[in-house]
This record gives sequence, structure tokens and C-alpha cells, in this order.
Amino acid sequence: MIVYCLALTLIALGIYGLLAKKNLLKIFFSVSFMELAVVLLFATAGYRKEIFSGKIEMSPLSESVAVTLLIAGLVITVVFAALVIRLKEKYGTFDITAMRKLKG
Amino acid sequence: MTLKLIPVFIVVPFLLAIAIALCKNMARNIEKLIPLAGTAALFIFSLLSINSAFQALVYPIAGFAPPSGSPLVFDSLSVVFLLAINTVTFAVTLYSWHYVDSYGGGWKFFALLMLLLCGLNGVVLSGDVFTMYLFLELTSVAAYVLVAFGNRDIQLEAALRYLVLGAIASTCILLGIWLLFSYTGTFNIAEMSRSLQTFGASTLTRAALMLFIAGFGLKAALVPFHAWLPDAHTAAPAPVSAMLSGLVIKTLGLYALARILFNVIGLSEQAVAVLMLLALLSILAGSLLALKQTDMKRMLAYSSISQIGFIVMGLAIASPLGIVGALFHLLNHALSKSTLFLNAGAVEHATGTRDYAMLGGLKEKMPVTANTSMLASMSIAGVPPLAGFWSKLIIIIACVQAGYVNLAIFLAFASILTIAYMVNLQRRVFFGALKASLQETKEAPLSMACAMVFLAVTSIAAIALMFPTCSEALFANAQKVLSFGVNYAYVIVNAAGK
Repeated sequence: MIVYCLALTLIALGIYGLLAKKNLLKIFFSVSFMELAVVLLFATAGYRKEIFSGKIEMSPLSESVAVTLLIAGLVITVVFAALVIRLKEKYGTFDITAMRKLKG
Repeated sequence: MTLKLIPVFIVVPFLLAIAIALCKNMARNIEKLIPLAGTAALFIFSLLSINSAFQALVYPIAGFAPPSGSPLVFDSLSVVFLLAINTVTFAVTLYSWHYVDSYGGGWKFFALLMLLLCGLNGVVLSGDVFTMYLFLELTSVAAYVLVAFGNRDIQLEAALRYLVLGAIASTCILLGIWLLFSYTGTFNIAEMSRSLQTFGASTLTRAALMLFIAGFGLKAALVPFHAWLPDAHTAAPAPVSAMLSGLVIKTLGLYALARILFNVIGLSEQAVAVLMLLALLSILAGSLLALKQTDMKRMLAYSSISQIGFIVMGLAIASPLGIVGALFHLLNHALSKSTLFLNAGAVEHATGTRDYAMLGGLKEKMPVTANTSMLASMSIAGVPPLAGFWSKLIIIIACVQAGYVNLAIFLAFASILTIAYMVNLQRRVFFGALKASLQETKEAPLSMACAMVFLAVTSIAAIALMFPTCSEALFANAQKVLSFGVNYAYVIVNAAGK
């Protein structure tokens, strides 16, 4: 149960960061939070306590999926980091309100 | 099409990407020749894979049979998408031959384009939701980088917006997959669908459904979720805009949504109502916003939103005729809208601007661009006898048959709006008096002209699909895949048992 609470908190933090924060780095971390929360959920999805025997089982499928998701998340993180660096070079600031060349 | 050849669609683009990176310095233009030859081969291969028999081929990856392994599934619905994907990618690769010279770093562009192709083919062929998600992520990452390829500030901004919204979409999709996985204990589409039928629908599947509609809706840019699309399409290099609008939003959004909605969860009344609402909003907002744009590519981007609305409407009606109309319109839109984006790129390449106010009378200076653009816009606008007319007509007839007469009238009205903005494009850019500043304009280079003519010819060839023999060969079985609904799982299970 505590894992679900943790994951939900992370997702809520991520959504809050995306909606409310103006700093590019904070948005970057918010996206990472959301990715990690989902990885956490997948890692625990295979965890099952047998009702009768009380034995704890782990499904190998969900673990391998969690590891794969970590790698997929890393790719997004790297691309996002590259974008953040380029934007910082162009504008000299992390403030996204300064990045308004597009009409929207 | 034999079973052993299915992975070719995924493996070949991936190897091409590696080959480009390895061989880039070996000969002049080798980084352009490799992808061109590869995509031409894949285009011919996708034509050969059209099969009029209803069949589902299940390819077990690494030899693991379905319940434990994750298979590739090749069926009639995949064929429609494979055909669209490989045709447009071939044209785009040909077009990029001269176009990327203005950007520099050409080999990176082609390698990323091949990864994009690999991801798109993978999404269409994967028979399990997690593999589908991974290919979807591969496509998205390649698309983010390609949007930012020019490295100018508006491109970086557009890529940032696309990436953040794309990450939210991915999270929604993953949460949906997580819910279904916890409920059924499998990722395989057929197995998942069978266990869902055994356990019955619950609040959990409805929650998953909402997450999927939000996630894939973001990827498909349906209207409340469309914020990234106009910026990304406008800022990206023209060939990438053509790929995004013609293929990426359809494959990542519509194909994946249709596959999960029809074949895994099963269509419910609420889902149909939500999809119809989204489709109506997309058609209306897309058309009206397209009318007031003065930038060629931005206008085309809003037009894409409205045409996606038509396709979703056809799918949401869910009658056999509606699905055929949706698939037909999807193919037409992929071909014609890519042509139009390539035209916009050619105009920008020749004149340096895409603004209506700076353009005019280009018909005499750029005859190839003007004529292909005319043809493609008339097809999208639904002027008979071009293919776009027939696909819209089929969707409208399906509406009437399903009892939504008001909706049919609305769709007819919306296609008049389509004609309005397409005619406006033609009038402001290609007709009228030639502007003094454009006297020196030259026709686009050979490879770009060839690509535009190729796509225009295929969109004329698509007219053949309104005749019953051709239509049945391509759409009749693809339609069955979707209208079998959750029972389609048994077709896959039977095919895997062979």
C-alpha cells in the first residue's frame, strides 16, 4: 500500500511541477518523477502474497518490464537534457516565460 | 507474405540507421543512397504484402509462443498502415536528398528518419501492448529530435512543448497498461482480451480506457489535447512535418487507440460517445482555426487536426461502412497531406517564406509544385472524382445509416470549410499576380519535384480503391479485424497455435 501512496505522490508532484513551475529544470525533474513513479508501479505489479500459504511471489515479467522502462525513461531524459542545454544557450535563462517566440 | 519475412519491416530500417552511421564517410552521398535504396525496397515489399485473404500471421520473437512470449502480429489492418507508412517514408527520403543540404549534418537526419520508420512499423506489427509502447516511445524520441533538428529557437521551443506533452501522454498510456496488466497478468493483446472477457468489465477497465483515450488522444492531437501539434508541425523541417502529419499522429494515436479500444477492452457506449465528442470538437476547431491562418504550414497543421476528426468519427460509428470510410480517409490523408507539406517545404526552399502575404502567382514559376499542391488539396477538400471525396462520402453515408442524420449534415458542412481553406491556400500562394520580389524564383530541385510527383500520383492511384475489387482487397478484411471486436483475440490465438 505504501508503494502506491509513494507512486501517487510522485505523479501528483510531477503534474504539479508541470502545471505550476516556470523553471525549465523543475519541469525536467517533474517529467522524471512521473516516469519513475510508473516504473515503481510496474515493479510492484508482479508482487503477490499467496492468501493460503502466505508465500511471497514475484513475477519475472513485471521486473523485466520495470528495467526496460528505466532504460526507455533514460532516453527521454537524455533528449530532454540536451534540449534544456540548447535552450539555456539560446536564451541565457531557465525561465520558460522568456521563451515565447511561438504564437501558441 | 510469409511468416519469416514479417520482422523485415522492423529490422531493415534499424540496420539502415546503423549502416548510415557507419558508412557516412565512405563515399559521396552514401548517407543518402543507403536510406533511399532501403525505403524503396520496403515500399515494394509493403505493396507485395497486400493479401486479399483474411489472415493473421503470428511471429513468435525468439521462438517463444504467445502466452509467455511477445509476438509480432501481421494482419489485414497492419497492411493498410504498413502501406501508408512505407509509401510516404520513401517519398520523404527522396525529397530530403536536396532538402537537408540547407541544414547540414545530413547523415544524422537520415539515421533518425530510419529510426522513426522502425518505430512506426514496430507499433503497427507488435502483438503485445508493452512492445507497442516501446516502439511508440522510439518513434516519439526520434520525432522530438527531428522537430528540433534545425536548432533554431522556435524549433527548440516546439520540440520542448512536444516532448513535455508527449511525456504526459506516455505516462497516461503506461498507467493504462499497468492497470490492465495488474488485472489480467499478461501483456499479450489476445491473452489480455480473453482474460478481460472472463473477468468482465469493471471500474478498473473503465479507468484504463479513460487513460488510453487521454494518452493516445494527446499523441493523435484530438482537440482538447492538440496544443503541441501546430507548433511542432510548423517548426519542423518540411519532410519531418510530412512524416508527423501523415504518419506519426495516425499510427501512434489512431492505430494504437483503435487496436486497444476495439480488440482489447471492447467498444462501449460511453467510449463511442467520448470519441464522437472529441471528433466533433476536432473537426470544428481544426477547420475554423485553419481558416484564419496565414502561414502555409500552420494552416495545414490545423487542417490535419480537423481531418483526424473525420477519421475518428468514422471509427466511432463502428459500423463496417464507417470503419472502411475511416481507413480509406486515413490513407488518402496520409498521401495528400504529406504532399502538401512537401509543397510548403518546396515553396519555402525557393522563396524563403511561407507567409501568404509575401507569396502569390507562383504557378508560372513553380509548375510542378503548384500542380501537385492543387491535386492534393482538392483531394483533401473532397472534390470529385478524387479519392478524398469518396472517403468522406463513405463516412457521411455511414453516419446516415447509423441514424446520426444531424451529424451527417454537420460533416457535409465541415467539408465545405475544408474546401474554403484549401482554395484560400491555392489562391494566395499559387494564383494571382506574381509578386515583384518573387521574379527570380526557380522550381524545386529534381529530387524534391520527383517526390512530390510520386506522392501526387499515388494519391490519384488511391481513386482505384473506391472500386469494389480493390477496396475489398485492402479494406474489407482490415475492417473485419476491428469489427470482430474482442472476439478477434480468438483469431490470433488460433493463428498462433498453427
